[in-house]
Amino acid sequence: MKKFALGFLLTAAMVLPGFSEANVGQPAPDFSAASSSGQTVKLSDYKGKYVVLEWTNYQCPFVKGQYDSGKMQAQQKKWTAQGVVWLTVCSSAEGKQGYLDAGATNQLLKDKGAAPTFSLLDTSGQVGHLYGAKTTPHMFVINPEGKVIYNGAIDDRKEKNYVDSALTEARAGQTVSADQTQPYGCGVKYSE
Amino acid sequence: MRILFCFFFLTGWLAAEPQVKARLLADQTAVVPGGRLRLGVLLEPAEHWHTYWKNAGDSGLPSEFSWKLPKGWSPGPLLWPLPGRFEVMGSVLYGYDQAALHQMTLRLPAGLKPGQKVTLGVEASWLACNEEACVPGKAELQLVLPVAARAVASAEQARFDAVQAPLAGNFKVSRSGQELLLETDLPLAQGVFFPDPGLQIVDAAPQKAEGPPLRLRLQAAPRTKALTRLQGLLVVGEGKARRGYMVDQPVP
Repeated sequence: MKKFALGFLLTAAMVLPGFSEANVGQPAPDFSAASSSGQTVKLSDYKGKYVVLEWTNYQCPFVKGQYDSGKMQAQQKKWTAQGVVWLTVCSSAEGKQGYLDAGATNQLLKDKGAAPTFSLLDTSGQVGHLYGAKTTPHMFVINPEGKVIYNGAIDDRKEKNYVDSALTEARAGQTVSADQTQPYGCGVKYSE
Repeated sequence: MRILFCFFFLTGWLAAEPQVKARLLADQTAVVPGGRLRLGVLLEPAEHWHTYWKNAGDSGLPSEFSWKLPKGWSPGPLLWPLPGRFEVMGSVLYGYDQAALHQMTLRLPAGLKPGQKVTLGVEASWLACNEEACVPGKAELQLVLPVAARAVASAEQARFDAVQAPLAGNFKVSRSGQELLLETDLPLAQGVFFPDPGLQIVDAAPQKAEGPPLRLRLQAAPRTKALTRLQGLLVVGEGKARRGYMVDQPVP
């Protein structure tokens, strides 16, 4: 029954790109994806930990803005140092803006001083569609029980970083005050 | 100095084909003491590029206008032109793929003296996207107008008149599961709803229109806080007969 339900969800995700979503309060859909360092990363392996998903495309001006100012790297370093798993996901299809192979991704992570736990190459867009990732950046936070506790923008375009406050509040045992915001930025460059 | 020159040359070259041309326009040729003046920023995207409405939709960013006016003058509310709904690779965006005038009305101080000159400015910023890429743009624009006892319409007045404030209408909203039904008394069968703010409906879900009278079926967005009002703009008609209605209805 469970298998059937999962199969149905996956089919729905593929048939209706953008319609399925990782909804706040719901279990985060499980996935496995190749990382730039060669490992296969499976979300459910991180049960018991907070996980941040960051949709990225380093050629998108909004992503560039985050990395050129050092803001995104600072968040990655701050939270991975406290045991949070940070996964960047690039769903740009081959030939589309932002697409990088594993080698180019690793070089870029080094050049930018980025510090995610893993950088996932979602060239097929499967993980992106499963989560309903719409923009770069688009952020999700998953709690140790495997539930989505934040879905939305990286920040309010001023001082407030929504991921930072979601993690701070959740780890202090508080409810996340801004758990759902409208992401802004470039559209994800999925395959047609 | 040489570096500066090279830089200028390079940016000049890069800007040779801008994604968006921006101009500051006024509806009159002069500023009349105690009168009104409409000021607007015309954003003209190149072919295949678009800019965004106040709710950009699934991705993008709304254009922003910061008015630079003489001391003590305050800008009126921005009147957004009627947006279009664009489907780009499974996403839905709200914005403009043609020249769009973003205007506001200024009430002019009575104490202005004919013969003076007034400098009116704006800092406009926007995001332009096509199917492949997004490029942010910015322009500081200025107009210098004389103060005069009388003014005549500028060559651009028709552009200002073509952008109408949204109309009031009679609407009712009901909800059944994830479906929102927007009922109207308009003798039409077609219309498009533009939500503002975001996160009210699933932007990419098809909007099912039927009528007359016009009824629209929308898919409610998954939310952690219940949707209590449906707010936005209902756009009907085509071409010059295109009209916008303000929607702000409780959701039972």
